[in-house]
Amino acid sequence: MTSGSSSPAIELHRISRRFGSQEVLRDLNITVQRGENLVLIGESGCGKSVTMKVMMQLLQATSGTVSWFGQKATQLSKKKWQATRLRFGYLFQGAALFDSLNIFENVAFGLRENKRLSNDEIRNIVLQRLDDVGLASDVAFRRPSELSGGMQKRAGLARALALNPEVMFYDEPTTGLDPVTSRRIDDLIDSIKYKHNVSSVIVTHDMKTVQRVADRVIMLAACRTLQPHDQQILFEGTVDELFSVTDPRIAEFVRGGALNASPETTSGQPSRAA
Amino acid sequence: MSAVAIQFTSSIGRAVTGLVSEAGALAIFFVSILTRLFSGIPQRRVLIPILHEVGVRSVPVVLVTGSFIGMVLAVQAHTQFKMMHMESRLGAVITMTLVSELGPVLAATMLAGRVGSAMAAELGTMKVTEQINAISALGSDPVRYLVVPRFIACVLLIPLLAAFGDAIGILSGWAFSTRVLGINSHQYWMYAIDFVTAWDIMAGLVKSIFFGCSIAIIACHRGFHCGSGAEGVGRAATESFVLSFIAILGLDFLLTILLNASYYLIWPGAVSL
Repeated sequence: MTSGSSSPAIELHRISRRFGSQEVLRDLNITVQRGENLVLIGESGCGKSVTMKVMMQLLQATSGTVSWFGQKATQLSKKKWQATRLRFGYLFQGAALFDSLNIFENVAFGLRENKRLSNDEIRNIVLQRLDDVGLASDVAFRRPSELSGGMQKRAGLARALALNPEVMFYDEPTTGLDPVTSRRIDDLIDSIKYKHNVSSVIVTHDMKTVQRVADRVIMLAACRTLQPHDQQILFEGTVDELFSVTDPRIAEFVRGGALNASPETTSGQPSRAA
Repeated sequence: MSAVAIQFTSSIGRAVTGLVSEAGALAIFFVSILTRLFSGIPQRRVLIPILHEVGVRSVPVVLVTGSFIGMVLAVQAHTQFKMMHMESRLGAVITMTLVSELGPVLAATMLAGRVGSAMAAELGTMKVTEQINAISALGSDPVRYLVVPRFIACVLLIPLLAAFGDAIGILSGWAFSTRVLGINSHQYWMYAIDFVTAWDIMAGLVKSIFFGCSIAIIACHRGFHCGSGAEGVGRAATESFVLSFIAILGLDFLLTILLNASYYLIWPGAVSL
């Protein structure tokens, strides 16, 4: 396979993952197209975050292949593998900021480790990225513990964006945040897509986030609830299709989330936020 | 075979398998550290804070430990040596014991508690909060970035701290022997210098290097493989200390035999204290 610009950003082919005797991923086939926002939903413990970590090779699959930009990740040379991985950014669920470093050094981390840049260049990029995510420059010299959850998420996002990724992974970006901050994060995800032409994979339970940012949605089932020959992907399609599905397992999940959170869906028709 | 016997045998089998598997995991981890170590020295901005944490901040602990060991040795040895009218040789026994045996072992034990447990807890917390994954996601190698500087710090500074502890112990032993027990200062130093050879000092330092190495490997390995949540971090810190302590004692035994054998191999007719 070639790595032409038309090939998908990421392809999972027959991916399975077990932790000891526990099956978490079963024979998954997922493609992330360039420039799309793919949202993974599903009940807790169904393997959404594990899927995303396998996509980025933070976790190895028990079987199956992962392709990055048309090339099998396992067949890349170490140098090429590292270079390709730098084309990905990851926003962790708890932001995963380094406690021992201030926000400036957190955002500068990837730049210092991977690029040969002067201190001035690093400073400019860091301040630009903090500005992109709506953080004032005075935040740069604070420690992560001095920031609110929403600010930490934004700092984590600035850190992930510092290396100009082509694909962003968001692990529950709005979990634990108030509705206003959640909305800001969703808007950021959307604006990053358009501003930087980034593909995104978003894991979330928040149906509002799904409605605001998703181009395509995949719903996973927990392997423990499946029969031996069942597919793990319960649903794959657009947001509109998701909200019109009649399968009770999907409808209950979607309705539950929508009833909990969504003024947009109370009218019956899901709508996309700008 | 009765059910109890089967259960007993299988539990022994599990323990042995666990031990071999743990030793194998530590060996693989050690090799992964060495391969990164030889591919480049960590950056100064990463190394200096860790050297400060391991070295400078351990000085008070080593100071207190060394002082008391020296004085305790003086008290214990004085009682025994006085019965043989050899109390003037206190300097020899205190210095010899501290330099070749007690100093390195006790300093390493204290540092396994202070430095090793802190490392395991810090790395364990980083693992639990996904900071280690974040390092990897940002294109850096967590072992190179987190473990190699800690390994270097332990291997370089634990021998230095042990030597510092030895010096403090010898001085406190001298102070207590001369001021409280009435030993002649000149005799204290004369016997100390007569009986302690360069080989003894070297043996103590070699032991300390191995102890530092084992503390770093065990602590970082426990941190990197800690279980989830606060319980996992706590367990990693405890296991780090317990395993390091066992490793220190085991290594001390093996190295003492090895160094003694080497000594008599190099100087066949030599007589030791």
